[in-house]
Amino acid sequence: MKNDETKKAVRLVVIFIICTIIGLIGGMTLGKIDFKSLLGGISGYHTGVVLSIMQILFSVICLSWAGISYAKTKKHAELWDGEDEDEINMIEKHLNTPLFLCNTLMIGSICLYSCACYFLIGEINLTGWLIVADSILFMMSLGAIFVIEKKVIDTEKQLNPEKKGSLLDMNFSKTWLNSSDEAQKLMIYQAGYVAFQAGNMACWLLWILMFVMQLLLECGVLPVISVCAVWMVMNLTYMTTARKLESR
Amino acid sequence: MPLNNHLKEMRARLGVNQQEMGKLVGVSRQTISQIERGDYSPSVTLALKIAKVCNVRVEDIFEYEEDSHEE
Repeated sequence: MKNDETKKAVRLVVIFIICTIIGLIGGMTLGKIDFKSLLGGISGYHTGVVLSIMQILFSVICLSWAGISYAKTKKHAELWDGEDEDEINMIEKHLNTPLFLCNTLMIGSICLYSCACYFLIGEINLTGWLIVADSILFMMSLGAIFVIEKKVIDTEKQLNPEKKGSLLDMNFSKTWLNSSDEAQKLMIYQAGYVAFQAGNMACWLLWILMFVMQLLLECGVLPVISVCAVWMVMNLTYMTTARKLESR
Repeated sequence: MPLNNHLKEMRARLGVNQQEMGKLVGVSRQTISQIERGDYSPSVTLALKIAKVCNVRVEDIFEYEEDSHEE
């Protein structure tokens, strides 16, 4: 048992040393590249326009895909005879596709819109109309996401009458969870734990990236602080909740 | 999970579908489906409820199979 733990500790130290050496060599190599002059050649206007076009394309692709996927699944659900259990399992599985696309689009849109505004606002004389158009498109995307998500939730409720909650309600997540049974709750908690682990890993990688960026591009300490703030909120919430549940 | 079950047969004997079975024991259709597929082991409370609805003993529906890897 002790031997096994020593082996694991040695493996961890070796991984740490290898990562440090890779980081050192990578940092020294990147340090020789003049990023400022490389990036200086690209104008803020062009970057903003490219980001806006990316936002439009991303929204059109995701919304069309989500809309078509929802319409097909809804039609399939309406044709269900109420008996074939494999068929309803398939319908429920397919209902996840529009939700997945809407969530991805929402985060992607927020990111692309913010970045586009950052670049476009620098040259406001040239880009005023583009910022307005981009803002309208952003709002329309969020509206369309809400409509599709609401339709999916309503269909889910039609298929499972015991489910409660409306997207218009501020306490939707709580009501939905309360109307879920033990197996569904377990599934939600398991998915939440996997997401927490993925979030922790993402924070480690982002911190490394932001740390290198702040040294190379002099982008300030805000990116590192933002990553660490999210990281801390995640871990403190997890630990305080676990402690509360333990002492129940 | 080394927990085999005969829920599908019991349900057929009662002549109800998954949705109706879920209603009888107070869970969703998906949970009944997951139990039948062996993807979910129900809590003791739910197993007792199912047995009561089917009018049999819990062991008649659920049987624990020793894992060959377990010593």
